[in-house]
Amino acid sequence: MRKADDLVTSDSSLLIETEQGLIEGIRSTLNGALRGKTAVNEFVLACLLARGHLLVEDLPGLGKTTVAKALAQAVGGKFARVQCTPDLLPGDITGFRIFDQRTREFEFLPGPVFADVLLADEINRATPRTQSALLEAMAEQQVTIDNVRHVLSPTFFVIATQNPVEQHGTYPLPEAQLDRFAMKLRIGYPEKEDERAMLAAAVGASRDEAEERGPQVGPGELQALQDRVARVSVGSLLRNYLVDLAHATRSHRQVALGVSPRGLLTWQRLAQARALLQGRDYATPDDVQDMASPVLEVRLGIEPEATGRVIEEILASVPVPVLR
Amino acid sequence: MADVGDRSVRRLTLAMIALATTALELALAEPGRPQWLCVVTTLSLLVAPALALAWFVGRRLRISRRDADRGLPITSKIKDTPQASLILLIVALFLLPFVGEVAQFALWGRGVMLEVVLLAALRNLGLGLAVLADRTTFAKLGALISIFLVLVAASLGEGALIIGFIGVYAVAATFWLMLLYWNDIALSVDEGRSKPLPWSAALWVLAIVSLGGVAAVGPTRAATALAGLVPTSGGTDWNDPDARGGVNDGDHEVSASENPQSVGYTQSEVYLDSDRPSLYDTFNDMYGEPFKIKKSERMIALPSNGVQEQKERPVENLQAGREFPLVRRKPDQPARRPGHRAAKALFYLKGPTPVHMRMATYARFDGKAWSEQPANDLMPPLDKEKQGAWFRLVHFSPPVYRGGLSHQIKIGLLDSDALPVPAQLVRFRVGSVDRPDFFGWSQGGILRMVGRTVPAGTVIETESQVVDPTLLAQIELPSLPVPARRNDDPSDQYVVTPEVAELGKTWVSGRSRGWKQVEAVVDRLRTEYRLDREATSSDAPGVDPVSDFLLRSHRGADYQFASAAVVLLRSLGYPARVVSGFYAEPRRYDVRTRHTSVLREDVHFWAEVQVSMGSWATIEPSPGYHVLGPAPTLVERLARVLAFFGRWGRDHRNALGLCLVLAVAALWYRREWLDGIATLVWRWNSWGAWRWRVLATLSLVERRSRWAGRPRPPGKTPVRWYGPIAKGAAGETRDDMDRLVRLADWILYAPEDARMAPTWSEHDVRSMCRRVVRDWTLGRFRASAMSPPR
Repeated sequence: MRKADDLVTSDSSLLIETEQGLIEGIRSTLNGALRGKTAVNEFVLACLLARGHLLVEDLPGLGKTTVAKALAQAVGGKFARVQCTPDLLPGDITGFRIFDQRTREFEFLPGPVFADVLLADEINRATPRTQSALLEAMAEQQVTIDNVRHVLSPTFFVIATQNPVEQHGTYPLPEAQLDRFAMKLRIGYPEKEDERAMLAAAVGASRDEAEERGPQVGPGELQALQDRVARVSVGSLLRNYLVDLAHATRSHRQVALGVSPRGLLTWQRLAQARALLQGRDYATPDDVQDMASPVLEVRLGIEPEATGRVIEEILASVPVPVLR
Repeated sequence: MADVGDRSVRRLTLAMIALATTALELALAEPGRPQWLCVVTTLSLLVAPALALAWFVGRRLRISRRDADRGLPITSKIKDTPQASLILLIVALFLLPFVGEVAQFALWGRGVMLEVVLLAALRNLGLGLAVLADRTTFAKLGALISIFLVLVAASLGEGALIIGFIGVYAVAATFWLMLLYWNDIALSVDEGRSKPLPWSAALWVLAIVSLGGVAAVGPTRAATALAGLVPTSGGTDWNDPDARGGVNDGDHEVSASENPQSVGYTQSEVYLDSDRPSLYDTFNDMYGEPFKIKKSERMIALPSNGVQEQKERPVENLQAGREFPLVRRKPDQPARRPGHRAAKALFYLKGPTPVHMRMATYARFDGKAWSEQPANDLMPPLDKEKQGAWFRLVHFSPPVYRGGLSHQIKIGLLDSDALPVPAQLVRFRVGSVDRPDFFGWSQGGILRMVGRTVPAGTVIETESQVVDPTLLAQIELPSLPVPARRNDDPSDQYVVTPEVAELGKTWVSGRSRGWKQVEAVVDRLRTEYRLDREATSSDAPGVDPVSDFLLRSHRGADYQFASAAVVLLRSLGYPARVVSGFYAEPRRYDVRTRHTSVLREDVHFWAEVQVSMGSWATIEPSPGYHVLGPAPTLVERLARVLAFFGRWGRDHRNALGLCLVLAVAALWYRREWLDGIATLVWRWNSWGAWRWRVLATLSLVERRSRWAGRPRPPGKTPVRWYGPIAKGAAGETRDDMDRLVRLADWILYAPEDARMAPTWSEHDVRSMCRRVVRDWTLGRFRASAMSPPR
């Protein structure tokens, strides 16, 4: 196996060693914070590198906030958290201008969206108005307050969470807005072994491990990584495969809403990110298939229990371009 | 050619070839075969397979186009080259009729006309090309062939159905031309856009042109036009002088009632007076009886309006197949006369063969020579039927007949007063001769003309019965009367030698008396003795030729077979006789004239066994000659085929068993030997670029995985499928598979400018491929007993 790995890493020798180091740093921070959830962490990492936003839907206490915080720590940016409630106003998220008595001028107080990593907890409890303010910020990477345009951080990354159990008094995100998220994840309960390790690590630990480690990437380095992802090669075979898959989602009888062109672009970018995470500078059908589940889950608009089966059907219906 | 037109051109080419094929088959069909049957056979045996193949090829083409659109590197190379297997198939189809012809010659001794074989080959080629018509060249070639076939059909065929097919063909061909050249003739449409086909416009044009055509050349009166559609008692007034079908034959073909210039096998009402012997006389009351001094032969009179005086001597046309003289000129311009065509055979036979035709029967045997049976008075009287000149033989017929035969016998060079007719005659007609006193019986029930020879050019029509051996076996055969010692007839004093009599008894031992015993004797003779026309029996005194043949030489001419059969049968107590005559051999059937020639060489001896008073059944002791049995029913045919295969299987049981075992083994181990072939091919192609080498190896791995019952689902990537399978293996083997899959990924999906891994030389990759092929055998795939990876 080692030789094969040599081959793979060395054929992507165009990668700078430090890039791998950076990725490894973020990865280990995430893995340290959320134990036994390597796959989830990989998705989170891919989403970050693909400049996408993440929607996590799971029960309370499974580590949504932990992941967000660890990510913020690792990226080395500013972390902000908004607990969404029905009385949350758009200004509470975007920021607002107040009159400064001393300078006799209006001063802009930036809201939590000006952070590098924003955790919007229980986003479906906010009113649609507030939701759309946040989603506009996610899509445009900017907010406009009183006709003044404020650019957000170039590595602005939103992790929104939803509680799937309590639906009372919530405002479910409409399909159009769900499309703004790159992917939807479920974290799930950890394995027994991991829980034991977690408990053992918690004894005597005064501070967060992630906090201890400190930032893993310097300023601008994350952006460079994201640019690097954009340059990962996608061959014509793979493009055709992606298009076929998108068409397959649109023609599947159980799918109300197929993948939009924006969704398809996101899918390609996520596949590129995964390729880079795997140490390759070209994407393969495996990357596309790996990313299919989180990408499609947020877009297909079908009942959660049927999603897995439908995605499997769609993947099985399109032949992988190999040697036909 | 436009993409829109592609499929339509393909379909139209196929349709044209199908129409041309059907028209051709209709034109070439044997006369008398129902046309619908011909159409159905053609459609099911020729057109339907072509359509199926076309569908199959079209499907493959669509798939490969789709792959090409995706930019698959391998299939895009294949896209434009037609598959070698298909080309081979077309060549094979083209050659098949020739092979069939050769096989027919080898098996039955006669084939069909070379033209028909060539047409069949062309037709096959056309069908094959139409299947591949997605390439313009093939479509054009196919259409060209279809035009040729249609022309042939139009010139050979007759009947409304063919005209209909040709009409539809014309419409299809028009559309075909339009489609093919549409892009060139369409003028003002944007470049690059596929131009829509003007179907409606084309239909309009077709309708207008058809109407115009009808108006221009069609009938001017509505009544005339309607005459073709509305059934009337008189039919239409359409008349074709060269017609060979329909109500009556055309004037040129039949009657030559105006100005006949040749004599032949004529059944027309006009008779030309020539100095050839004839059944007809120009005797006429008005002119008085012509006085022929030299020779008097009996003739019958014809009415005066059917006779024409002619100064010139008419030429003869006595070859079969040309029943009627073709006189194409008007009487006022007799530029060319028909050529003189003498008969080449004794007579020509139209009808089923083989036929035995008696010319003489021999009843008495003195040990050396057979003498003719004396004429007796027990022959059936001839009963003339009320209509026409048919005579019916009135005699008791035993219940041994099944089915009837009708023949036409056209006398050529035969110079005899005996009429060559099939043995079990029921009724007959000789031209217009309607007087029973023209016919009589010579010895042994041979029908003959009284007082004259049968002249050349006479057409004898006969209807006869067929003896069914199974029915014969059910009746009791008469016994030979106890040989009354007739002292006045010393020739009948032949005594069968004890050895021969013993031989006969041995042959029939175990069989009950009756036809079975006769068959036993005949079978022995046919199987254990050799026919040798040159063989003569010893001339030494005291040597009995029959005993000599039966006991010593075991070879002889047909008369020896016949004599031996008769002697043996008589020794067993059956009345039998030797017959000489003509044997109409199926081998001499001429497909062009559809007649069987009977030549001088067809003189033959056979034997007959008495079934009842006055009726004799033909037996054929000579090997190589056959007696025509009744047409088998469907059940009999099936039973015969089954019996044949059963016998064949029994005779070849060892070879058959071996083949069966081999076939089962080949089927059982089909994956193994397919894998062997695939591996050989892989080895053979080992000199390609290393990238192709890797992909070829992966493809071989995929094949093996499929043959091992573990095919990679199309939606699974090789990594996801072979990774878990490889996990079951150990060490190097597992790593090799892993590397192969990853390397293939890299080749397929990495950008073009990516360089090869520095740690991997080309040599390394090649040896890795070899290791994978060596290690990941079919057996390993089978043995990787694991639930299919998810």
